[in-house]
Amino acid sequence: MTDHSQTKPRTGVSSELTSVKGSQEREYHIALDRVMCEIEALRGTAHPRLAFVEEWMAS
Amino acid sequence: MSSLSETEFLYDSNEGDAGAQAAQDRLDYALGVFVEEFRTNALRNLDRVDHILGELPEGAADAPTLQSIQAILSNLAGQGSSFNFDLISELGEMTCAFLRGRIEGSSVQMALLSKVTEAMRLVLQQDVRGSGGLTERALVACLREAFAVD
Repeated sequence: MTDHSQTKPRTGVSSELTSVKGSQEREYHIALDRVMCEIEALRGTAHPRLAFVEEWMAS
Repeated sequence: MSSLSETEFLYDSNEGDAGAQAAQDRLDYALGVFVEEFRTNALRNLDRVDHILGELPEGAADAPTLQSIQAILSNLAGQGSSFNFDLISELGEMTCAFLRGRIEGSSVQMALLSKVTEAMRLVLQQDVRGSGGLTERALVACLREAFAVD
């Protein structure tokens, strides 16, 4: 099972994190993003980025 | 006979503006208590689901077990919308639809359910109201794809 959070920085989420205040809220977003990575890993997809995230990253 | 609004019910007109503010404060307090009670119960219900998932032989579930999980999440989804936890409601409803579908209860599907409860717990602990922001919408999209494939 690939840990995508280690191999692929999800800059879409990171860009959102720059606008949130407080370490607790950042930890929340990071934790939610980790859950997404684990869900994608369960699906066994090698390049699991969602179209939504791709668009987010491109903007 | 006219009905009283919640604020009017709590409002003593003899107290003037201060009475109105005091009534609003009491109402806000009461609503806050209800919301906290919902969050506490919701987290307990997620614990119940996680306990069920943790007890599964070889991680796989039979039909009655899936129905039990669905009943808990359906209840949670219904209550979530009542307290403005729309994201919780949405995640619950999505998961219930998944459970009602062609799911056979495989260990991978149950692992996916475990991730759903983890995400819902994070949302509740963070006290996210409404349908959430970019990260939460990405989660919904992620789950929608996972539920469609698995």
